[in-house]
Amino acid sequence: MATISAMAQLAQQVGASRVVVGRKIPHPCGDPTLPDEFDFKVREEIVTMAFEALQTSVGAATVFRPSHTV
Amino acid sequence: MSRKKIRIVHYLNQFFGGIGGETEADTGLQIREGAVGPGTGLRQVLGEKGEIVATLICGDNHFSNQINEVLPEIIAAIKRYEADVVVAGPAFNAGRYGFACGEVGKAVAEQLGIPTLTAMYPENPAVETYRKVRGVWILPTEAMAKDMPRVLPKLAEFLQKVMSGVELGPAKEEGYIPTGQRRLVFTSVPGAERAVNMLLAKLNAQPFETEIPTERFEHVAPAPPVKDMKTARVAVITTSGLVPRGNPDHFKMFNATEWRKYKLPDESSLHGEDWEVIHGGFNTAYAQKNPNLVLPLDALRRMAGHAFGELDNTFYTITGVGTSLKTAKEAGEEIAASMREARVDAALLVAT
Repeated sequence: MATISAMAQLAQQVGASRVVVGRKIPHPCGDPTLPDEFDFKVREEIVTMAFEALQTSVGAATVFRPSHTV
Repeated sequence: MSRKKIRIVHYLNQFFGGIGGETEADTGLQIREGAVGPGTGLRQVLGEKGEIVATLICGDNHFSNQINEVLPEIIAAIKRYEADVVVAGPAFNAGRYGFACGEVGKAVAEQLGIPTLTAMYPENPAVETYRKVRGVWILPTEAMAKDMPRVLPKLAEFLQKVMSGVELGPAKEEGYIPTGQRRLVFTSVPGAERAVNMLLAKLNAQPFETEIPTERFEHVAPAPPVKDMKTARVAVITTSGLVPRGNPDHFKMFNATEWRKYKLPDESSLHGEDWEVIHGGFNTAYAQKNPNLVLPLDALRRMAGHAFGELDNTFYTITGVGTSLKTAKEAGEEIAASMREARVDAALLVAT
């Protein structure tokens, strides 16, 4: 399982194995302050990173930072 | 002053009861007069203070398989022997034995209203399950039975204290495993001052002791990586409290005790008018307008078939605010079981 959370450090502290950094607490998957297409792009990048995390072998709680282009 | 001896009934498994090891774990309940096995050691340290009037011995497998039959027999025997207190174990790190000791203690507390003392290794799974049961006291032991000579005197001493009627102090003073109960006490230093003292100690890297210990998180080993994302079946969990419009299962905004699963629409995206976000812990306005922000269906639909195999058409949801660790753990186990049934290979959890 991969956890998408804007409070990545907290998720890591409590031991979530694969943590993907989300945008903000009320909108972890995306950024509604951006125009729709960019908001979608942010979401896609986060989910892409989550899939990468799922395919990565981890020994302890690990944080994955999506590479955002917007 | 002469006081009558404390009447003790002792519960043991087949091994400590001297019947045999694993091959005898199906042995049914046996009732013996007097002390057996560890009970003889306990009797020695208790001397004139207490008497083990009977020992109940039951195979660990028999106990867990026939619990509905065997527990009433145990309760009846304890009643018949007019016990003042029950001792169960010590169980050390034996899982099934620890469970049996806990179940006996719980039933005794509920049905007879007398205390049960047991002892086991703090990481025995039964500790977490039974330590908060009122009337059940668990003393810590080492993992292995060679700790018996050290434990029995402690058990005897604690037993006398419990039976003396004096109010017990906190766990760390009395040596029992914390029961999770809080008691009002008066101190000469007001709370604000204690809090500041604690903060100062912390800032100066001095030792200090919290008055409200937080729940400890167990270590969970990370799952192995997904071998081939391209063929993986993916399911989504959201802790945002996203539910169909109308909140059909009456989600509450705080302190969730239940999770639900709902069908995802066949569409390429979630639309705000079809959903509600029931959550008292964050500003839900964005997610209400665009639920994809807490359940990225639009991105997943776009990526299915190339970035990953397929999306499970069921999603899981809970309102993750003020949720107790116990509830979260139970929900996690139930959701995992449901996903296993749906042959899900990987899960995404969106936490708000």
